[in-house]
Amino acid sequence: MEKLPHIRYLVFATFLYANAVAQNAATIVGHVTAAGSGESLIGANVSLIGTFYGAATDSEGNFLIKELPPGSYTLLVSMIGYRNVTVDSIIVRAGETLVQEVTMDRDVLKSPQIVVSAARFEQDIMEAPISVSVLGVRQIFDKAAFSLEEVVIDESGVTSVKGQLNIRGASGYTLGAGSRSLLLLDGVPLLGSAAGNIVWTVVPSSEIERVEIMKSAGSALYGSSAMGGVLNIITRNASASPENKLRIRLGRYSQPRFDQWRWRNDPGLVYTVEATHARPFGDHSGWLRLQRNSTPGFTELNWLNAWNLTGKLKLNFGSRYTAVLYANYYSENKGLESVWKSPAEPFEAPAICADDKSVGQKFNLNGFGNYIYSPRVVVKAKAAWYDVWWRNHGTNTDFSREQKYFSELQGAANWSSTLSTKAGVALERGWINARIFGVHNSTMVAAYLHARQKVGHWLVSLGARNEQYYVDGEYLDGALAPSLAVNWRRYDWLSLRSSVGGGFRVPTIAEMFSHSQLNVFKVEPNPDLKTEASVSFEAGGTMILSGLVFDQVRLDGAVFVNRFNQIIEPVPDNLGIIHFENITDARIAGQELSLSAVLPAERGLIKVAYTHLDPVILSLAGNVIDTLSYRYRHNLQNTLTLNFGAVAATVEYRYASRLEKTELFDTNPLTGQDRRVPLHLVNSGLAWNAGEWEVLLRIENLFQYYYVELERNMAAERLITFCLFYTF
Amino acid sequence: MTWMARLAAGLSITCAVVVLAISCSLKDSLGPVAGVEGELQVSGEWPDSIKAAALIVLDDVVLEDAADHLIAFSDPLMPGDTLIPYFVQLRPGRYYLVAAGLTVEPALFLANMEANSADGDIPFVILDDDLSAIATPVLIRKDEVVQVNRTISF
Repeated sequence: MEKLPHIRYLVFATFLYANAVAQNAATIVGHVTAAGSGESLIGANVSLIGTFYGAATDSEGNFLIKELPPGSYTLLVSMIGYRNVTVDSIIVRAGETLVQEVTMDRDVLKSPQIVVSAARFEQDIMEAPISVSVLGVRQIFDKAAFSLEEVVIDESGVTSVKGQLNIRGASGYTLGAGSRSLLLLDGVPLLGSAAGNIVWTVVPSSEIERVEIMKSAGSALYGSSAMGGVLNIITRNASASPENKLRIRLGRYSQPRFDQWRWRNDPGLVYTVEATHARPFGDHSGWLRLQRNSTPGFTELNWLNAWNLTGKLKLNFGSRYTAVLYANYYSENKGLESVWKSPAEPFEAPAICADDKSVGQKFNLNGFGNYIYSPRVVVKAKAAWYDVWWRNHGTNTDFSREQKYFSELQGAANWSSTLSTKAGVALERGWINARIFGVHNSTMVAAYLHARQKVGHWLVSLGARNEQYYVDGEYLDGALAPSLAVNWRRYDWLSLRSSVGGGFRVPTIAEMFSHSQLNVFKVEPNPDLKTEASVSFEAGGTMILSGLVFDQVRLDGAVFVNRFNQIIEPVPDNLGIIHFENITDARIAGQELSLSAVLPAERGLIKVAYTHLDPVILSLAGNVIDTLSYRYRHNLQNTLTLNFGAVAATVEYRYASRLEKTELFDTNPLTGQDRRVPLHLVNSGLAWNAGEWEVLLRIENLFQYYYVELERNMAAERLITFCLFYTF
Repeated sequence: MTWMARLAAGLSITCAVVVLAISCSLKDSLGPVAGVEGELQVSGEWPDSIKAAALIVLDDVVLEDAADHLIAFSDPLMPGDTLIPYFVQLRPGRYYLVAAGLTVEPALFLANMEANSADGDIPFVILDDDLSAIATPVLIRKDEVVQVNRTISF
């Protein structure tokens, strides 16, 4: 109680400071237009470099930054489809309003140029210290995908094995029990605490502003599960004027091209109907989206019926206080896929499982609040609640109820125009009651500190994160992950980067306590699992060229080595019983090269990305003793888009080499029982943009190429979809 | 170089990649397989010594030396169950189907299959008492699946 007077003084001093700031405050107003056309640009991001002040342009292209202390500032304006603009030495005086006009040139590559995930600071993608891919609205829209997974696997270094995300081969396939790639939604972790796996269905793929894929170890920034990379989904804010969107997607799977594989007379209708309403109200804004999704599936148990209600609210209390609240409710009833009936009937389920299904609900609530204490100091508080319930019916009667609470308090300071720091603490609590795990709880506490210093053309990022884990009230393990990264950018067209960092991942509850039967295989618990650790090194560069055959070429290359210690993988022992085990050491080394080229007169875009991996298991002496399972050694993605006025035609080709090693089922060379083949997937699309109306025709797996990602599971059949989008 | 020429150059490169993709996709795609399928049934009391039952496929009917002629086996039928649908993928040829009892747990049987095959000591016993059925070969043709049901009586 004796401390209360001090708190009163502190509150009073803060009030006086805030009052003085308000009285002396300056304002910057401005207008952003497109070069050439003079069109006002809506939704451009405006920020003052070295401070935490910023705004977005409204429905008339205007922006307003108020409550600004007098001084000299550098203005940065960014928008997808346009080149960043900086305006140096803007001087604002006490009580004055400065008017600033900004004109932006078009960026023919049309990809986002500002990222936040790579160093937890907002920065130009050319200054990112590690490899980052960014997907913008257009790239997501052009895929007409229900699940974001279908979009991200076309990025260099990204693959998926039966829904399990792999960034540079980090995760492989772990029976859904653990991921080394972290999914963030607006910077908040979205993984279940028990299985630690990505739940793609809760991602609102039509309301995304951009997706950032961070491809190097992210534990120093984001902790456990980020040791193999991070996928950060940034959802869009509501438009500056009231807006309604209606999206209808109708599709049909083809009949198998072999008569022997046909299993139904009518493939049925795939449909998604979605309505979104967005509006500003006063200084605030928000959107609400309702989605209905139904598919008969391409296999007997691939059917799904789901409802998804999502909303986002952005609250602005002047220039210094902002808050965001995001909520998602998802309800599904779906077939429970396990394995095919046989390779002779690969689209049918075993007769005994024909009625297997799963019913579940997911609820996710997250939000954050920003308080700009001064131009150079900001405090951010984040919180999230995650509640998942599901129950299986049929031969599999598993059930699960899982809840997770996450909170984080973060402070950031710009000490000078060249030095920034960020520090924070985080707490996560999880509860699980599942038939195959039992009843457990987990707690994570973390603290981190990061600094960024600019020295000439060099940008040095240094940081570390410490996490401590408790399971069922007992201490499990702790880890410290440091990182050091540099970026050199002497010219606008060239940047070089290199980084080294530690990573770690604590075993998930699923890996420690799973007790189940998978066909003839038994999975037994291993509560003695240890935290796995990694050291990652990467060097790479990005070059933007023009004046060659193409209007503009963006070339990005990287070499990387990830060395894992005590890596956790599902391993059958000599009794045929699968345990999750710390299998000595492993190394995944590789190279990655990607090229984006704009055809002359913006007639089209060519994207080529190639990734080579060498995923090996090492002995204690460091010798190669085996190949890591479920990793594609070669992966190539190509996209060609041609523009004919309002019509755009796209062809995509994806190649992945044959999986060299799998775990679940043996092959038999005497019978040809080995279904692993390389992937050769061709997709195509035709889009017509007529202002408020947009029409898209997509064909996935155009040539009906048949392959398996996971043993005894046929991958998707050809799907033809017609999409209609109306904005009003 | 005019923009038309540059456009043509860019398109040519991409078209070459697409053509390559299409030709490869036709070659490597999975397709129909040949094999034998049906139901394996059990009647009577399971002996304690038999941990599971399966249909094994031999390339010659030499029962005393079955390990040397073992080609494949079906998913096992576990004690307590009376019926299991099965499928065994096979290359075109002539085969003999024999009902066998595994004397170890199926998971252990599978885990050590390679080592046991090399030793010629596979832990199973022949359960079929219908020798005429064993001696009748099954002829598998390309992309053809042959139906065979078999019952084991304990």
